[in-house]
Amino acid sequence: MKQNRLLKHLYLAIASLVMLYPLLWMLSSSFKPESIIFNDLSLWPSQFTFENYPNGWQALRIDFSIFYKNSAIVAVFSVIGNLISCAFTAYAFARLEFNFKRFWFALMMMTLMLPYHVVLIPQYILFLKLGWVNTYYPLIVPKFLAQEAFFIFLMVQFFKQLPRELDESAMMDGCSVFRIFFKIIVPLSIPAFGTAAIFSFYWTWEDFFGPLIYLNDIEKYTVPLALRAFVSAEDLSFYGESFAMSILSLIPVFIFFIIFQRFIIHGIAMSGIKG
Amino acid sequence: MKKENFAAYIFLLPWLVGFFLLTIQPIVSSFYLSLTEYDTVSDPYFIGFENYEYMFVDDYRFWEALKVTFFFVAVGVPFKLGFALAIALWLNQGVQGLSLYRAVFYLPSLLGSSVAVGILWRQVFHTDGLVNYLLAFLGISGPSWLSDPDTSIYTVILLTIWQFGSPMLIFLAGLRQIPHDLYEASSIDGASKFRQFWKITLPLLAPVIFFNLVLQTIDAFKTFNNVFIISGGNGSPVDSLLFYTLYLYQQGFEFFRMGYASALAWVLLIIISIFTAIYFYTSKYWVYYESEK
Amino acid sequence: MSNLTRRNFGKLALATSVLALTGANSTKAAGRIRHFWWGNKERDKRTYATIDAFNAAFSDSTVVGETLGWRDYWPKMATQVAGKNMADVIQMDYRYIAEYARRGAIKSLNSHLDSRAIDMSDFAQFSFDGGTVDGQVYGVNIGTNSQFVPYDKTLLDQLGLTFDPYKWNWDEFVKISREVTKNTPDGIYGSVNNGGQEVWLDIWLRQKNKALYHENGDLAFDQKDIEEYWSFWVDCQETGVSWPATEEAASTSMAKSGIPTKKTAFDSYWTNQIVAIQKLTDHQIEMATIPHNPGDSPGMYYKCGQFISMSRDTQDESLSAKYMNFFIRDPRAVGILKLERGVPGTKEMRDFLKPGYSREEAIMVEYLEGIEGRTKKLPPVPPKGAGEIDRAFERYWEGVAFGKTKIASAAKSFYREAERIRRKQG
Repeated sequence: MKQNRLLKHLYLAIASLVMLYPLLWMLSSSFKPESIIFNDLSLWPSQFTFENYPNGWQALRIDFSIFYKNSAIVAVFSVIGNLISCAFTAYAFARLEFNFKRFWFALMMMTLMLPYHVVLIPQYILFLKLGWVNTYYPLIVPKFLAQEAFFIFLMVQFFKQLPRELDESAMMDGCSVFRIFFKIIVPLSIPAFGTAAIFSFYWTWEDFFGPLIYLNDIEKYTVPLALRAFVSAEDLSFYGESFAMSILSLIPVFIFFIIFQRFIIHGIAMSGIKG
Repeated sequence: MKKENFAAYIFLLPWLVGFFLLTIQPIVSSFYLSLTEYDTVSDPYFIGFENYEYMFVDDYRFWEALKVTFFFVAVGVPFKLGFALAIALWLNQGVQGLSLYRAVFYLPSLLGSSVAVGILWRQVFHTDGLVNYLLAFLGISGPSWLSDPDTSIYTVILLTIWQFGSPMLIFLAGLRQIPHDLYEASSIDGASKFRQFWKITLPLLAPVIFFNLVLQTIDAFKTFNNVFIISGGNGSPVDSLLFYTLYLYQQGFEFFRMGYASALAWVLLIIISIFTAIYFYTSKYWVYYESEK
Repeated sequence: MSNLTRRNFGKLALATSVLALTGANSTKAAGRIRHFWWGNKERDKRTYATIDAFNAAFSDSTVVGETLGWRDYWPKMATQVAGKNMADVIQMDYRYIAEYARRGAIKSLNSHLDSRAIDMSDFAQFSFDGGTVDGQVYGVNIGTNSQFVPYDKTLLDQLGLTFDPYKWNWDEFVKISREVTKNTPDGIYGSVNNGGQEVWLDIWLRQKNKALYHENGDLAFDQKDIEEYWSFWVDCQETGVSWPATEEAASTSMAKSGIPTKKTAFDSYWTNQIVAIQKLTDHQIEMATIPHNPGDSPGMYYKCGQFISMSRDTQDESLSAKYMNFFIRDPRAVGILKLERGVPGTKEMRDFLKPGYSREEAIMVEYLEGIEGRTKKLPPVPPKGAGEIDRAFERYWEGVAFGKTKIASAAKSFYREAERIRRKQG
């Protein structure tokens, strides 16, 4: 039995190494001088340099602390917006009966399927008319209006898994649908919220296309947009600094992930209640 | 069943407002643009269904792009989901240091499709990159994976699989929602692990499997970022990485044919809808929700 | 320097008076313009510094800088064009300037040149050629470039191979390259493969007194030319002159190219890129012309690598012109921008910058001056659809290079497609 467990850890360790190698390579490259990055396969730098970090941090007109602040604003608001608004919408789709339900659901799914590149220009013109270009509104407001269908669908799937009897018995006790939502559905769906929070944070954190199109001033750039400024197809690229900043940009997402994955585990304790 | 129209529409309100204010107009515009010639500088010029006609009759690269994309979906999605599910199940058995492993397996997905990933992947699969270095130990001289048109697509598939963290996380969350006492009860009845998996885990996980299947299929059809950074934005070598959305992007933003790009997008929308419709239709037979029992 | 400054102040005074005259027309956001360019870390730093210098010198107006990398620049530009929200002053590339000009997205600068609000009176003729579309100037040259062959002098010296970098011919190119491949360990070759490089095809054609396009935009080559060109480069990859197709396809960025990876002795780039190439290797890199046979013209030309243009949506035309003029010729700007975008337009500016040249900058200028008189006129501005034809050329070549298609049939298909693209663009 014990041997078995050891074996399992061994497998996991090997799998982890395979998963992590490219990342480790990037980490080690961020400590290598520019000229040896692509000629040195080993994970241990033959020449060490720490300069990529301070240089990268201040490589652009604005230093990265501003970009981190901007990214944090966008990401935090997006998470809050997505969680609240998508939970509302999902509750209606998952547990309430109403007219045209299938129609609205199909429309909602459709917004997931259209490649975003073709709605980009009409959307840009729309936001331009609203005077929102070069502000964070185009990146945040849609989240508060449940326009990320992914999260609606995700929560629908989880909400549907909760036994009907819960609502019915609550209904008998005279609870309104609103009370049921807040008192029963939300507390029982913590794993779904945890998952949605992680995705929501990470997707907004790494999204560059939205910021690329809507933000003009470098003072407003988010981290991924700033990162892209390092690597230009035709000209001189600063790989070492780019890797260093990429590594740093992973840290907030990783911390967020570590914190919120607890809520996924949280599911165990709560789902003791059986319908 | 009793209708709860009032309450339901109250809950739907934010979404409806957003949909009518921000979403519907660009979607309708893009459909209109698909019926025009539009170079983004001059005003769109209405040409009826000419874009669609050209696509199906004359444009061999359109078919090329479909071929590449279908292959990617057919191979990439099952592997990625299978992998994610297997790892999630494995981790769910209760390993010591679970959260550590979960983090490790999720890390590559956190990298997303930043520029760094593109460089990284090219490095790993380069002629003298890691993969060939390892193959050399086995006495195999590996090809130049990314730049050989026969193998390039597999490197993109592998990259997609490598980033299996998102569906894995959703599977894990789904597994966590399965009540523990179901397993306890069946253990007392003497059910084997395999039987438990078949009779309890799979059926209760079905809604989440369904979700991942639908979403991963949609995502795979729309794959853009990963290929864009790997192929240098043009689907080379020899169009072996000409993914559908990459072609669409090239037409719209590089060749100034936004009208044609919109037409391409609507055809893709129809293709994806058909797949999704099939999934939803068949789900009646294999996805059961607790709330509908 | 003082001379230049004095002259310039005169011009500026003139520009300001023009500003006073036309200023009345300018709309709401007058006094504030946006400058949008593609760049990299180094260019951004210099361009922002130039903007700061302008804002400091003219406190009544403000220029705001916006920057992105090359790949992100164009989709954003397309979106802004569609939204009629382009920046006032934008950076333009040779391959897009005609499309943007003919589609009305950028303004003709002729009136500003005539009034000397943008003063290019002492710029060489080729500075105008590149930015001229249908008789009107749409872009001001902000950096002259030309094609060249970077070669790894350290490697060639080790092998004892020499040649005249200004006069070498195709046979020498083949011979030396083969020597390199033969006398080095596996995986090191003579040259990269330029079979899919439209620029090299262009020069190859021009050496035979042909071209890619006629003035009216029609194709100026035929299928046979393509076959010949591709046959040469297929031979190269088969006989150890160049590296194989997989290596070529893998070299998607400069860092992966032949010289920086130390896999080839010869590479192919634009002159302003010498600085970057040298930074990526510890070998000594020197510059040679594209090979040409004795009696033939080398076929190369001075290219305006980048332009600065005024957009259709500009809010303040005269301020934009004033800023553009500052950007291209004020010593405060030139002294900051230096050679980063290419060599500046006048000898005077070059002399002004000369004392501060690095080794690479010095050989770049030396090379550009060295080929003077032996260059040909810049080809006409590429017609609509040229970008798409370029991509098709690359694609069909890859088919040939990987042995997926025969040269003759690929050349035929490519030629037919190129004609079709042109017809479609009208």
